[in-house]
Amino acid sequence: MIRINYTFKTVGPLFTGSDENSGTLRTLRRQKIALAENQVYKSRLDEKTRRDAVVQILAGVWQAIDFDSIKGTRLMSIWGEFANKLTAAARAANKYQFFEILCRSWGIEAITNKNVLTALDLLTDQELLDTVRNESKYLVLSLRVLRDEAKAKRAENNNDMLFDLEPVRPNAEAVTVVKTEDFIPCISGNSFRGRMRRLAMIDFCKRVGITKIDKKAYHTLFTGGFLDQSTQYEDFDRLEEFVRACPMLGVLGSAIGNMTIEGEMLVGWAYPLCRERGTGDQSFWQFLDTVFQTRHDSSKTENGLELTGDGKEDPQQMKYEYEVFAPGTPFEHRIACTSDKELIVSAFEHLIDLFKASPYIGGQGSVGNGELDLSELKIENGVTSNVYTKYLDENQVKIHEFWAGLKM
Amino acid sequence: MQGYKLNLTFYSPCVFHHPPMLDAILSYCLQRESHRYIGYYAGTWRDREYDGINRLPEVLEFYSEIPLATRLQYDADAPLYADSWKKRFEPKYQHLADFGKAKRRIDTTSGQYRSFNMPLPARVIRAGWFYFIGDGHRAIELLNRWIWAIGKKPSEGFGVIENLDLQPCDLNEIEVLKRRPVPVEIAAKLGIQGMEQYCAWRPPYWGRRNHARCVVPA
Repeated sequence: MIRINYTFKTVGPLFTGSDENSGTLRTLRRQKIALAENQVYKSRLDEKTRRDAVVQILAGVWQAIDFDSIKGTRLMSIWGEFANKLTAAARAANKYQFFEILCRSWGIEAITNKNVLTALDLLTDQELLDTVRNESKYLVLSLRVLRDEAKAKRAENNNDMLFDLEPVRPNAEAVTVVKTEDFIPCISGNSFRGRMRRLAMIDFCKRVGITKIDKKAYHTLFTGGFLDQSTQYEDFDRLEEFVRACPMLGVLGSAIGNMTIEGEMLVGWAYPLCRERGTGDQSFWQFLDTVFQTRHDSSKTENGLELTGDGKEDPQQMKYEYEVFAPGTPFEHRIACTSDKELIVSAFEHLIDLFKASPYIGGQGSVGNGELDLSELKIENGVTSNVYTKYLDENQVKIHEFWAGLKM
Repeated sequence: MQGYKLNLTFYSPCVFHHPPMLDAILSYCLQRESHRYIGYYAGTWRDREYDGINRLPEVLEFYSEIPLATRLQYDADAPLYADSWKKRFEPKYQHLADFGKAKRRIDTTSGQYRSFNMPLPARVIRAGWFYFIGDGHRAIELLNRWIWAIGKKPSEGFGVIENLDLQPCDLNEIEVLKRRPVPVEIAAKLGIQGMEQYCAWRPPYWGRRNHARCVVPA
C-alpha cells in the first residue's frame, strides 16, 4: 500500500462550506474531536454568573456604539451584525485581543462602563472565549432582552440609562472546569476526492479525445455513478472492462448498473496542525478569519441601457460573509493507494500530479479562495506516471470506441 | 494459536451502525489478497465465491464455526456526533454528456441524478482495540497491507487508522466470545450473558444464512 502522510499550507484564504449559516455568516465545516489534552482551568464564576459577566462586556460595547452613524437597512439587521462581529472577535488568542477586536470592529474609541473591566478581570481567557464561541446566540439574545427591559425602565423613570446592571460578583471558592471535546474546522476527504475525480476525468477525456458520452456514463466518470439495477448478478468481466477503458475508475471507483468498483485511492480528512489535536502549538481558532464579499447593483449607474420589467427599481445588492482558514494555515493530510498493479499506481501518481498542477480546494475559488501549497505532496517509491499516459496513447482508439458506443 | 490484543489509534472519526468485526476485516484482506488484480466489489458476493471466508482459518482460531475475534472495543464515553457525506451531479463539464433528444436538464431532487447529503453517525474514538486468537504476525501483515481505515466511508477519510500495535496476551475462548455475537444455543452452553438480538454471527455479515438469534455484548 502506498501511504502519503504529508502537510500543506493554504496560500490564500480557504473556505469549505458547511450546512450551517450563522445569520449572514457562512461557517466552515466542522468535526467533533476529543481534545489531545483536556483543557483545565480554575474559574471563580458559576455557569450563570459566567454568562452574565460576558453579557456585561457585550453591554458595555453595545453602549459605546455610535448608532447615529448607522442608518437604514443596516440598522434593521444590527443584531445579526453584532452576532457576526462577536463570533469573529472570538477567534482571538486571549480575552484582551477579543475585546480589542470587538471594539475595533464597531469603531469604538473608548468605553466608560467600569462593569466591563470587572467582568474582564474575573473571566479567564479560556472561559470568555469558549463562552462566546459556543454560546453566541444565547449571549446576543440575553443582551437584547436586557436592552429591551432597560428601554422600558428608561421610559418609566425618565432617565438615559441604556443598561441597568449590577457588577458581577465572584464565588468565594474557585471551581475547576474541564473541557474534553471541541468542534474543529477541517476539509473533508470527500472534498479532495471530488475535486481530484473531476481533474482526473476531464484530463482522461481530453487525452482520449472524448467529446460526447452517454449521460449516465458521464455521471459514472465525473460523479461516481449510481446503482439502478437489481443486485442478483454481478458481471465482474464487465467491471474490469470499464477499468481497462478508464483506469482512473480503478483509482477513484464508481457505481455501474448493480455493481460497485471500489476505488483504490483512499483520501483522508485534512486537519489544521493545532494544539487541540496535539499536532501544533497554536489553537485552531488563531487560524480562522472572516472575510466578506459584496455584490454591487450596477443597474443604478447604468447609462446606455434601459431597464424593463417588474421590480426594476428594487436594488439587487448584498454583502455576505464567510469564515475561512487564513492564508498560511498548516494542515496534515493522508492519502493512500491500495493497489500494486502498475497501471493503477501510475494512474494514481498521474492524479497526484494533476492535483499539484491545480492545487485548489473548497468553495469561492472564483474570488481567490482555496489555493494550497502542495510542495510536500510526494510519492515515495512509486512508478512513473508515464505508464498510464502511455497506456492511454496506445489504446486511444479502443478506449474512444468503448465510450462512444456505450449505452448504459 | 496465541491470544492477542490489537490496539488501534485513529486519525479521524469512525462511522458505523454496528461495531466493526475483526474477522470481517481479516476476511476482506484475504479476499483482496486472493483477487489482487481484480479488486473487491462490495455487496453481493455469494459465499462460495468468497475466498476471504474460506481462508480465514489461516489467520484465526474458530470455536464451532465462530471466528475467535471480537468486535471493535472502545471507551464507552467516546463522543458521537452527526457528520455527513455529500454528492451531486457535476455541471461543469456537462457539455460532454449526451442527452440524446431529451432536454439538457437533470432532476437533482429525485431519481438517478439526485443530490445526496447523507447523514453519518460518527464516533470520535481516539484508541480502540480488538482481541483475537490466531496468527498475530499474519494478521498484522494483512492489516498493514490492505487496511487503511475501518467502518463506513473509508475512502472519504472516515475511520483512518493512525497506528496498529499488536500485543500477545493470555486469552481464553470465552473472553473473546463474550465480546462478539454468538448464537443463543452456544451462548447458553458456555454461560455467556448479554443482550439478545437477531444478527449475523460470522462473515460475510451481510449473508442472510449467517443470521440467527444471538447474544451480543450489552
